[in-house]
Amino acid sequence: MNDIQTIHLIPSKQKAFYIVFGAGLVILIVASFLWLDLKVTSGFNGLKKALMFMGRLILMDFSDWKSVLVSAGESMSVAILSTILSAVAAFFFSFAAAFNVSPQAVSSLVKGLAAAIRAIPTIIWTLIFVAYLGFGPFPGVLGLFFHSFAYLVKAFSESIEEVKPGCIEAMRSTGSSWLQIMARGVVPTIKTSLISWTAMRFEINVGQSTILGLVGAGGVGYELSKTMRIYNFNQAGFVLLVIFVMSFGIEVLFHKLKLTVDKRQLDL
Amino acid sequence: METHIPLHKEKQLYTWLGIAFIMISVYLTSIASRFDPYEALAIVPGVLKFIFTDFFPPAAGALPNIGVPLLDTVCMAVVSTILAAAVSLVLALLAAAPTTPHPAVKMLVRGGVSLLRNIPSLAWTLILVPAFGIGKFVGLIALCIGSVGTLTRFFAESVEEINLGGIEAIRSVGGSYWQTLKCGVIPQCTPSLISWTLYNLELNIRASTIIGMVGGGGIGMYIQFTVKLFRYDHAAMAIILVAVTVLILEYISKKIRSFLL
Amino acid sequence: MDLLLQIQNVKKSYDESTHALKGVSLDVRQGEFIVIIGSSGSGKSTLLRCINQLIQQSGGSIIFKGRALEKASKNEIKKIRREIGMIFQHYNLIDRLTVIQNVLHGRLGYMSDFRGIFDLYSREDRWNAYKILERVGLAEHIHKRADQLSGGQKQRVGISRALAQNPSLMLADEPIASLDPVSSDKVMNYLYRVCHEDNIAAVVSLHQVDFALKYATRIIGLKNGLIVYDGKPEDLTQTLIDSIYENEKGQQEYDLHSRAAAQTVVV
Repeated sequence: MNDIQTIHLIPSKQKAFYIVFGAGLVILIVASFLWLDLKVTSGFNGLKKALMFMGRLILMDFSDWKSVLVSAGESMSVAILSTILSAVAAFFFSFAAAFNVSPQAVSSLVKGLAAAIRAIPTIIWTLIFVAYLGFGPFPGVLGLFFHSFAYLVKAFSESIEEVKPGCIEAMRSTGSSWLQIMARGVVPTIKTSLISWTAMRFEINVGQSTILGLVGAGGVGYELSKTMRIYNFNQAGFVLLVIFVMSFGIEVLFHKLKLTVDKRQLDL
Repeated sequence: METHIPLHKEKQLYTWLGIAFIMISVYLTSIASRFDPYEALAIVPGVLKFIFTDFFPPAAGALPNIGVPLLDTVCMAVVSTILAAAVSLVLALLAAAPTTPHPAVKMLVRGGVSLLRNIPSLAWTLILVPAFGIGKFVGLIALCIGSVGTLTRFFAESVEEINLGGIEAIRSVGGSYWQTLKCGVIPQCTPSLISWTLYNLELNIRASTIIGMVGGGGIGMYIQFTVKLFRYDHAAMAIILVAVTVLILEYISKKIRSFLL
Repeated sequence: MDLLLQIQNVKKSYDESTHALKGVSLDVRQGEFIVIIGSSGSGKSTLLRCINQLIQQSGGSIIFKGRALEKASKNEIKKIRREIGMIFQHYNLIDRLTVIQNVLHGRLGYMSDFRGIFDLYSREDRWNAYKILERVGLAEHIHKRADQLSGGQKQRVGISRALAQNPSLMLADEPIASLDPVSSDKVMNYLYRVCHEDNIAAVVSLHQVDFALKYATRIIGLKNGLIVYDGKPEDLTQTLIDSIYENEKGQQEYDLHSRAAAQTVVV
């Protein structure tokens, strides 16, 4: 059997690429790990403590349920309000951002601005507003609003850009004005995807609204940090349960309503 | 004789009901969150002035102090994402319908990760800080926990989206369970897995700024610290660098994703 | 001729009311090229999948080379499967892998888990896979990704994967149903030739009667889970064909297909 030749599974060029890529990845991970220089001084002891705390979390203390539920309602309100306001605002701005229905310069400007706003995490927006306005849910609404707004501008404008040019052209040929084309041609086409994106963002906003309290923006997050600061784990356990029910409930509900989209396309 | 032809009468009714519902929601939630639209408009000049005088110009002098925590944040995000991706892959194979050893295992894993996912990483940090003390270790673990929750769900969905014909083919040649996983399942969902991992990396960069604020180390801690000291120009520099990092990462993952497709 | 496969009164029902197979008996001998015709939903796919136990029959017996499949252990089934090649309507290739990788999957049944998982195919296996691809005219495409091929080429890769198993029986489930007439003829030609040259018995389900008449050494007509014709192609009259394809329960077909697919899981 001397006539056997070596047959490669994949082209050698591709294999070389995989090796280089893989090696690069490994180096990146190892370097990151080394850079972090983790010192676990409290190793085993810490683990024991953490498990003990978790045990105490499970033994919930419901005594303060009234104020926790009020705070949860406050968080939910912040999430709902910021989602609605940002969806309405984003709806109008998204037409300016979509390249197929807006001048090139305007589109780039709005998109760039949205990208800049989006790049700053919600919690930092909230922190800025708390710094200016003081504690309370109001700065929370504003912080969530900004990030949602920029996020939805991107999502909505991409939906508009997916409208087939033929559809717009056909309406233009009947002599419709820009506003008529948008109202009678574009909006009905993209309606479902706008609703899905808004629902998706609402899901995120509910999750975010529960933690804004950590920087002083009220809501159930404030209860969490309050109880944690005095190491009252039993009460914190109940707060965590409420947070879990809130975000899990929304997740299940929206999944049932099929209001889901591929999240990879956008970032939080 | 002319008759009015309604285009969609019932639909119109639903639209109006929807609008009314939204208006009522806005009204009620405004009260609950003490949101005043007039005030929101009235403070615009004030906020702008605040941002442009207190935050700008960002302090260039803060740069040497920002480098280390920013790199910490990036490294925490990278390490936690990779660790979580490895764990999630195993869990996802247990939780996905075509590959799960038993439906009960599937339900158990799904339930478990939904608990991890729906309690924010920040809450995990709060629990871990008293146990392990303030620092990057706690931040890393908290990010890992949250990421396992997110990634397992999406990985499992990716596995469920694959073409079952390929699996059928591997079984038909006499392939074992493990061979079917390696030769039939994994090659089909690899692009999707990588894409979700990149998505999670982006999430973790943002999340690690939050985690830092409650003692998880990194840039979030620095921002919190400077804001508390009213050194807004220093905070501004850090915020801008966070934004730039996020944008760079977004760009890179976009490139990798389009390369994968 | 040697008896290779005996199917005795095989029944399959997906639930109480849907019976895909209502008692099918069939012997397959070495060198035969059997074509099963019948409308969609007649039970062709189910019958083929019972032969290599991708679907377990609800009743009756299937004996391959003297071994009764319904009594075989999981491990024995895997060993039997590697002797039975299968070709699918939708090719069932792993799209993102190269052609040669897909063909080498045919060797997995002969390899340990470890070697299979790390792609440790032997030099001989690789070379044989290359030779098989040469036979079906795909030698220059071995490093192409499977999804870059045309339909006809994909099905030739499917044939190669089955050939790599060194099978003594070849099953083909509607191998040309997704192909245009020219590629169909080419694929059937290759399939017939390799089976003939390597003395592999074949059981092929087809939609197109003309192809069945052209290649089959024996034709089986299947209707509503029962064999209604079993004989030489020459004896198949137009009246018989019409009665095979006369379908009172056309609605069932999609349902059965989706059930067969739903049963496809790894374990």
